[in-house]
Amino acid sequence: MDLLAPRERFGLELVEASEGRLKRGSVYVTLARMEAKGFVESRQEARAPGAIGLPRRMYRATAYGLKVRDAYVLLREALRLRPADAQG
Amino acid sequence: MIGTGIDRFARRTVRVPTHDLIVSPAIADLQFEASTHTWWHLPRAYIGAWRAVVGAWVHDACLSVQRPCWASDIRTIAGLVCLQCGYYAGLLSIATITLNRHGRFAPLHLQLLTALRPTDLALLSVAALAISTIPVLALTLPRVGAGDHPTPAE
Repeated sequence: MDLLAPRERFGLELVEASEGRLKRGSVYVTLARMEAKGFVESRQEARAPGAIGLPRRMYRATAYGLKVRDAYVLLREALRLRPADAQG
Repeated sequence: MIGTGIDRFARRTVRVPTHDLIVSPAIADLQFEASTHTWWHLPRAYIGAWRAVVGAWVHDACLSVQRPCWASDIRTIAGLVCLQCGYYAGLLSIATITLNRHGRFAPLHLQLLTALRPTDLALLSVAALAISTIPVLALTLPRVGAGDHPTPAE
């Protein structure tokens, strides 16, 4: 989600930007599942007339996905705090 | 065109939405990579595309298991298989009761039953289960392939 927050990207771009955290074989399955849950949305890129090959699919984070990402970050921070830290 | 074979294979083995969401972007990226990167990137790109196909199969399998009607399908298939297994078990029982070891009619001699070893029985059971299951699966499972619909590139 962090990678998709700033701008629209395609799968291979995400793999390269993730510095090894995303694999090219599994990134599309992950994105499809995230799309099914409404975290990301996708569209096929517009192709120039006469272009050959399949059009790439561009992904971007939805507002709901970004909210879930923020909530997850908050939750992770909260769980990271030990009880003693929380009292102090 | 690079990736056309993988695409054609995937269209026959995965559902249409899965193909559009998982396989098609992987092939598109493979084709993009082939046109922009040097040739030694290609093997890794091909492996990535094939892994996407495998991921699509797993994705399809997960979706099939989650279908509400799947439990009903399983019961129907199991019922049909049991029916056929019962039929073959009945035939074997009649044969062992009524035939001698030379295949002649000799009711209640039970020669075949005493001549059968446990391994023979196990083999017969496996064969009966296989010839009961294969036609049921072949007739009841729907074709999941996306078929040969034209791609945007075509």
